Amino acid sequence: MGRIDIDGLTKVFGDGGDEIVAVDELNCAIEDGEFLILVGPSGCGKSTTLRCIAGLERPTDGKIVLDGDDVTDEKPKNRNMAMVFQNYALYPHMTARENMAFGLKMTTDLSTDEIDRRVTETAEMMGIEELLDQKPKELSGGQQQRVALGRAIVRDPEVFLMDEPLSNLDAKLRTQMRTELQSLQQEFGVTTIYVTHDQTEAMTMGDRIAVLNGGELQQIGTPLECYHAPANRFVAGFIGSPSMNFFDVRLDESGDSPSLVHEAFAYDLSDELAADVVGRGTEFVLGVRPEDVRLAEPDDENVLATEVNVTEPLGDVTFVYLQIGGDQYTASFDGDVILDPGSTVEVTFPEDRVHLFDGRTGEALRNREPPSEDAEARLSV
Amino acid sequence: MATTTTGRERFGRYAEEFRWFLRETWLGYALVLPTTVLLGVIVVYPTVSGVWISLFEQSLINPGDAEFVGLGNYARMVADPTFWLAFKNSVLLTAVAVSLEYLLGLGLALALKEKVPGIGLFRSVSMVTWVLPIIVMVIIFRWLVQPDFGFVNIVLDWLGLPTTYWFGNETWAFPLVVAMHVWRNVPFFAIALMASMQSVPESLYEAAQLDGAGPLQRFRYITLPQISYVSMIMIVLHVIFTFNNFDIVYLSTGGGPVNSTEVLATYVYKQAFTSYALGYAASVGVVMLILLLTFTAVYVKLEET
Repeated sequence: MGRIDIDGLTKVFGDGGDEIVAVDELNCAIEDGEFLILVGPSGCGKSTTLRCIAGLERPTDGKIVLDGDDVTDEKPKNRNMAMVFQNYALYPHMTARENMAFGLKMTTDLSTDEIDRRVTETAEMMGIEELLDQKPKELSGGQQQRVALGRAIVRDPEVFLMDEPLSNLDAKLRTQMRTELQSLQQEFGVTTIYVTHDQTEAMTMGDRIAVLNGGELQQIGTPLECYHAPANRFVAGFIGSPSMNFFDVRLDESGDSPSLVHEAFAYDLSDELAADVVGRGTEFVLGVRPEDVRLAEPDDENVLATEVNVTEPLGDVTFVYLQIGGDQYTASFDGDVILDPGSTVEVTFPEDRVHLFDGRTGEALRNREPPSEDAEARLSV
Repeated sequence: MATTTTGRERFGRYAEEFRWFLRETWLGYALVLPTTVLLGVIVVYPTVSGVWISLFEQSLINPGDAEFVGLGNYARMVADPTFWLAFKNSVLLTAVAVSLEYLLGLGLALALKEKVPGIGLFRSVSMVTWVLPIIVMVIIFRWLVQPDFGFVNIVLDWLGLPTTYWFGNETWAFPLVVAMHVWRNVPFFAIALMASMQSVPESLYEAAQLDGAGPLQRFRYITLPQISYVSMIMIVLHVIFTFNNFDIVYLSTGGGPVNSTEVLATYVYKQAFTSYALGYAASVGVVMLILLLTFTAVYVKLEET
């Protein structure tokens, strides 16, 4: 079993005048066997949260409960968790075999033969059996990474904690290890908490994502929930690459129908959209993902003429940077569409694809239509 | 298209390579020449000349009148009880002093590593014994054990214990010499070991904590192996310093009382400048050199494995 409940976790660093709140009242429940990703920009408190769960930091306030037992004040060794560090933290004076055996040697009274058998078995599974007698400095980054993972796996812990384990690898190896980690996790079904700042890893690896910013939990949900139904402007901007376009708009109710006015355009609202914003102040943010920006067709409404600044053809898609008002925005068109920089195009933001956020709090007032019917129930805000 | 290489072209390439090699190599020789000459004059010449003199019977009063005796000096040494006493004292002093220095230094390093208020000042103060000139240190120790006004004797008197000039006591002079070495060198061990400990990445300790290692096991399995290289350097250096040390012993007891603190360094000095037996003194020096070379070679080899 490996169910973790994080209850009001708060961690404050420093004292007196310059206190830094790294984690602020974090609440979160991680099911047994779940793969949870903690994601956010640097300094958002994700690593601190992980270290509190590991027992390497003592929380200022709040509780960490493992399978119903409060482990907040327990030492790391009493938590039965294994951690993979960003720099691997392999013991440099020990061979790969000794590195992997160390945890078993410290925490169990297994015989040397039995420890050796388990280490060899895990090493075979990880494809590193021929590296077992080498020291870390003789191994490449990817091999070290495998040994570090093996060291965590061989202990058969209840929870895996991973602190940006792939960030020191080159791009190709990172992609490969990403898939490998996922299949390992599925094979073992061990609860895994994985910290990353890479939103691709966040989207592709986890069962659920917890997005943090400034020590506060912004949203927790499946990758697609966070993508299609972000709880607020921060999540909308952080999840997805290239990130969502945001337009600061003002509600204008003077005309026949209400519209959202931007310095470069006015977006007429249908009754359905108007219902979500009217009566909620006048300042809003209109969000639209690059892939939801469409080239306008003759009978489209809310058409906007823009200038093409730069194009980035990637083959399957082309990123087009458009000048709208004083700022540059991104659109992602089909790879067949050829546009010349400097030309003018007419684009539209389909109504079922726009997001609306409160201009002051950033809270999501309306998210795009869910992509399929059965997802609809889960995606309503 | 295939290319053909004529013998001449091929030879030309090798000739070019050879000229380049010569040019680079001679430049290299030119650059190391000054240091080589300097080392030759101040290290190689005295060493070789020491070994050479040890084969002669030569008096300091009349150095021109040297008689070749082969290994005669060494044979005499084997039969000389004072040599064996000095030899035993040197080995004992070195073994006991360096062991204590390492253990106490390690303890002090662990204490200095802690982040407690005022540790900066404590770190600086702890170095005082090491920067003190040896003569000052010896005078302080001699004052401490003076019969009438020495602090040690005042305390002993107050406790009703016997008092004396302890450097003049056959039993206690040697431990006092050991104590001076230890007192002086512990801080240096501590600072070097602390620096080495501080370069151990914190994540290793964190990984060990998650692997279930307690504080003692973290010390045993992480700290000790990680500081073994610096430990080796410190131990080798101090074995050499202590084994060769002359001034601490000579200034405090002069090798007495009744040779009880005689070490090889003071014995060499006395043979050369009191008994004027230059050849015999040189042969004792050669024995010291061989012992230290053997120790260093064995230790470095052990550390490598």
